[in-house]
Amino acid sequence: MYYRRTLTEAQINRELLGTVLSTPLWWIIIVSLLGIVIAGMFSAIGFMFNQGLGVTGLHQPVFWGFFITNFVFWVGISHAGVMISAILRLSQAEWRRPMVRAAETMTVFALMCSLLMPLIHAGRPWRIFYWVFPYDWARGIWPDVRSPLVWDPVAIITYLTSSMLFVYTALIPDLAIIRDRSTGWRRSFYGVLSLGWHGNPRQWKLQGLAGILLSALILPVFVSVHSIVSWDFGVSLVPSWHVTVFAPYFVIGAVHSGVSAVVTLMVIMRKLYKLENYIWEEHIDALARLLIVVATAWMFFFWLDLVFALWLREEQELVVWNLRLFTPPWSWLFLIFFVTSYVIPVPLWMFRRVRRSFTWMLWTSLLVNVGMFLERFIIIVPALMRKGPMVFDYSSYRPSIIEYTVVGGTIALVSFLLLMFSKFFPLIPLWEEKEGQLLIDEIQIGKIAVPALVKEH
Amino acid sequence: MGRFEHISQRYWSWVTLLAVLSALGVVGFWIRLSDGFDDRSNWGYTVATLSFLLSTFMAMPIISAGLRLAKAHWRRPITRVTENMAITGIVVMLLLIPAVAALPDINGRLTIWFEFPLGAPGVWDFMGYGTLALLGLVFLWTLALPDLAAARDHLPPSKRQSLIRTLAVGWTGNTRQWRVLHMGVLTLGGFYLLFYPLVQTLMVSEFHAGLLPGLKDAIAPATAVVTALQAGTGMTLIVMYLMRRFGGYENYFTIDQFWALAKPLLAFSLLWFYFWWSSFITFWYGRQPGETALLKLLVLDSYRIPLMLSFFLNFLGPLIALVWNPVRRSIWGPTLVATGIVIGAFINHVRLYVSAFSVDDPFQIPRVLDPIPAGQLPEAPDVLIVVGAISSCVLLFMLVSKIIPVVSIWEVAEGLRLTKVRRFLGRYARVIAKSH
Repeated sequence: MYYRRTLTEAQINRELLGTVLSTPLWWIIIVSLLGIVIAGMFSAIGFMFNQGLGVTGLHQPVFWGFFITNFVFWVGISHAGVMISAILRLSQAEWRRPMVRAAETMTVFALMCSLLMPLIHAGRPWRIFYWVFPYDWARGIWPDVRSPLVWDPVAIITYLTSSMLFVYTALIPDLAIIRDRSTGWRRSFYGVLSLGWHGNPRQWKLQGLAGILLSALILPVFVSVHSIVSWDFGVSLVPSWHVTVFAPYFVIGAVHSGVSAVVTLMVIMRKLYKLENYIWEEHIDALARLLIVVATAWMFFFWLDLVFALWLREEQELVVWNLRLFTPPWSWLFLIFFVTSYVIPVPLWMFRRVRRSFTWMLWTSLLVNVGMFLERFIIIVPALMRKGPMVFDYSSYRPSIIEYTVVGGTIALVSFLLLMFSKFFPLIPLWEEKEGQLLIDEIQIGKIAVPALVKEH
Repeated sequence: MGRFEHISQRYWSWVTLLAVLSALGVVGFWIRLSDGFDDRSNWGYTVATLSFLLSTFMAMPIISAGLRLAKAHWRRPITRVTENMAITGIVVMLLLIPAVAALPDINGRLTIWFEFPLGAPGVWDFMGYGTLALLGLVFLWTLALPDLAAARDHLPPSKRQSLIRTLAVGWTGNTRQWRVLHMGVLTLGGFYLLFYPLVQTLMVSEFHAGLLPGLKDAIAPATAVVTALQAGTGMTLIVMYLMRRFGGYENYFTIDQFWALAKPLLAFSLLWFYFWWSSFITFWYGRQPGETALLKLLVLDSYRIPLMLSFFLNFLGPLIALVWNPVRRSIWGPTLVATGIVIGAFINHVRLYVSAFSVDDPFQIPRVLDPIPAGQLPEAPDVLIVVGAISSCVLLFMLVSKIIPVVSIWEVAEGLRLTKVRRFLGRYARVIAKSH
């Protein structure tokens, strides 16, 4: 039953600090392999910088391709952290405890990865500095602050900063525990990071307050980030992009994708770090229930997007949707996206047995993210590749090997960063687990003792 | 059960007053009917009222279904109030008749039915709204079965008791019946949750977007759902306050319930702005001729004042007030904000639907609104219809509350068994059983 695994504090410390205080062989092997993939990615990026954007599949009129798709995808994944952590913390959902830190950390690394994409996409990223510090004062060329392309980095950097604060604030009590169990340079390192934490009542009060305040304050940032990404598309006049529903559609899609990524992460973490005492069937069951709601809401927005795209029967709009729905290879990609992100996983999640199976949940959550990547790809590319007014040279878009390498490399990069993080910090918050243990109780109803939780008045 | 059994003189006075007001609504409707349906603008306020009722009273069962799915324990005393409001589906169905009759021909205008008329829009609209109303009533009835049985066994023989006996359909509370009830409630609640956005999509596309040339606002149905949740929560708070103040239910509608509902109310208020802004910014940046004309109608010119009022009552006011915990954690705070929200919601529905019904030619091509109609104030029959429709909803609620108790007795009793109070770290804390 729920919350019935009683663990001692010593056991929690020992089990959750295992990988921080020692280095297993598998960790070294995986990190090395990921390092090779990342080196391949940076080589591809270097080659592209040297040769120019011509080595990608981008050409007129499709100038947004895999890189921008990947940017939107990783911003989407980053929505897991706040959804799981802030919202579940505010709503006092007890089942959040083992997954908050991993979700928050994934947010941070996914955002870093997403920021990389527009830089690469610019072709000559050093020119970004001219954008931040305009150099040609005489010509009066300034960044257009009315453009969502300017709001984008501002929102993402704000989200990144607040997410890092979020992770760090919740880490402090655990850092003090590691400090007290370390020697040498590690002790100094964790001593500085733990800011003199001793766990007195005032420190706990401040820490709790900071957690609640950050949770509440980060929510508007969380919503604004993907909304602004959606307005990169929505405020343009490109057919099928100029849609009012894009902002909530993107946000809820991001939550769908992000929470699925958390499921993937939880299942892998459980296996690799032997966290069977902390991540149970009940946790992924709760996540799956959440995903059913989120996915269905997302489907409603998708349906609205489709219906109202056809609403005015505008020729250019119909051309794009004809490409997406009926013209191969886009129609095949559309079918795969639709089936993998909703048709297969959601009906499966209706079954309790699937929701409580780590294997099923791993594969269905991976399917969702395959589908969600394709969704972004299908939103972006067919809308640009149509033959519109004043477009005389047009053809289909096919990503090059360079783009595939970069996209694959970003997956490796986020995994690599998560593994590195887990080497220095526990992926499951020790203090949250201990607090959870304190709140366990039971109520006798007739002959049955029902698991119960303490809720403060 | 004691309060349910007793019917006071004051109750009958209110019922009489509401019946008179409802009758005045019928008079207003009759006056409008005598002018026919050729002048669509005559029916704008009727349609706005239809949408308002759909978005407040009929949104309330969602609160019950949602809180039930989320297993929120504090919901127990308040869910029945929201479920009882499903009875207002009858008024919504009645108002739908003139609303559909006032719609222009489907040929040549924008409609969600595209090239699939087959009775559209009337048949499909009635099927959609009717299914929702029916779902609401079955949801209410299913959840009320144990209390109906208790009332059947408790009340002395009378016509009222006889009706309750019929509705209780032989409930004895055996294990199988309870299992069926729990399964049925989850299924019906889930269906209501899924069906409500579809009906709102019908409402918005048929009576708003379909009449405004050039309007392509894909977010509008979702906005309607969010604003409905806000208004539904607001109306729940108002009813709770009234039941507490005048019905003697102080022990059931406590500060815990007001506090807990104030949080989603704040969230919905923020979402109100977010959805409105998402739509506005797209039009503002688009600057297409059709979009500019619609902005002038709905935002900048003809209906600027209703928008400003709604903006304050539905977003700014609630944000300023509910961001403070002492306000949220009070009886008066959430109630006051909720009253403003419900008024703001009505004004917003007037903005959306009266404006749409005042457009002369929804068929015009190119699809650019021209001329832009001026704002339309209500006439005497409109006021009578609005007052009558709202009164008849309240009247139905009051009547049904003497058949089905307004506080779910079995749920409150279940909650008491699942809760205990104990000392925890030097304080008193509530322990809540997690039956799953």
